[in-house]
Amino acid sequence: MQLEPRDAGDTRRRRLDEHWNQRRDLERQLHDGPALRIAALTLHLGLLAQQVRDGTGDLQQHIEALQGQLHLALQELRAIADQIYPPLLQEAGLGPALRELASGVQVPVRIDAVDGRFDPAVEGVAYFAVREVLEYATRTVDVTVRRDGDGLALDLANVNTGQGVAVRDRIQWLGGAVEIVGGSVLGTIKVRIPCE
Amino acid sequence: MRVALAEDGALFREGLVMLLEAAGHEVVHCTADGDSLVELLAAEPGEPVDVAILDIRMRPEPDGGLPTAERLRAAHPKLGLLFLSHYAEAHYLMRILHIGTEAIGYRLKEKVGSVEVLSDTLTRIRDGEIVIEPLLAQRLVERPSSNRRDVVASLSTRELDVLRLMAEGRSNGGIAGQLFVTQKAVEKHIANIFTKLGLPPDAAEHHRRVLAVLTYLRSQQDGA
Repeated sequence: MQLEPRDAGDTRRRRLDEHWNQRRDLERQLHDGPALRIAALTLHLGLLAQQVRDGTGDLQQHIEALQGQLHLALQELRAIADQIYPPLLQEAGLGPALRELASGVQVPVRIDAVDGRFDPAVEGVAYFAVREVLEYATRTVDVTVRRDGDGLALDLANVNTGQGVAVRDRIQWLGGAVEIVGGSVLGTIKVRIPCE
Repeated sequence: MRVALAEDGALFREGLVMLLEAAGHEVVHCTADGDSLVELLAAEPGEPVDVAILDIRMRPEPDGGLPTAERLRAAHPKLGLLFLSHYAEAHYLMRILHIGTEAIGYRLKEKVGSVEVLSDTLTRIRDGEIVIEPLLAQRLVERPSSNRRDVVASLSTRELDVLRLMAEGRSNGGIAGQLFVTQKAVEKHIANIFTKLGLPPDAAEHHRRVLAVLTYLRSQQDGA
């Protein structure tokens, strides 16, 4: 079943809502995570300065704890960067980025992806579409990425086909199309996105 | 120790030079990209270097540290190589291990921020060992490829500890020291692990086993 393109105005509205919600969410994560952690570090350093003046406290241990906190702040920044545009996707492409993604999800996922590169927008949209679908997967998923003529062909087999609508909303603005094959619950979402 | 360094971020590069010198090492060459370092090392053969420290994401784009390492390994087979990166990715680890499985290392930038850790990492690499970021080794053991999960889950807690330390590149003696057990006990655990994973015993030889273990944890094919 070919999913009909949604009315353009309706899709744009949904995409804009989603876009601004994501930006607000990222801002909140920056604030609640690394920003607060670094603010707290300045207080720890102030305390440390006082202890140096007083000649009290275990300097070595304090410094190691501060380095540990800096590592955590960097880990939080990496997690946020991953939601903006995964560095591995930018540097190595869809195959390596999807394989890394697959190792982190609960359900087993098999990735069969070509080595070549696509446009950044196409790779980004495809990556985040897969990520969203995998969040709702309940059994082994097969992900296939191929170059199909002048476009990207992405097949997601054994997934909740109800996700097809969300995938279509993601890829429609790139001129892509979504086809659902199989049952109303479990089936295959076939995505085609034209690109150079 | 005599060290050469290529890193495009000036702030981190300067900080690293200061820490290296504070640790008593000599920074022989220091560049902002890979090609310049290769040229400097070729131009001054009278200035031997023990370990080259390479950023991964630098010129030549996109991941200049890797082609630079390949060229350095071909021209100076005895030179140790340490990759420092902002990200600890299994994808890059596998590419690094295909450049070499001896005298090579991969660590997170903020994890070499002490004289002890930095010197220990450099010494192990100079002595021919592999050094892999413990966080990454732990993640690989905790999150193996989906068709490996059942087998890895069948390992005992102690065997998982040994597998993680093997994935960090530790020698038998190093593993024994970390776990406070005898080297004999470590050898027995390793034999059991290799049997359970179905890996050939000859892959347990130190320099081959990191690649064998990591390939196993990452592999999507059964029995590959």
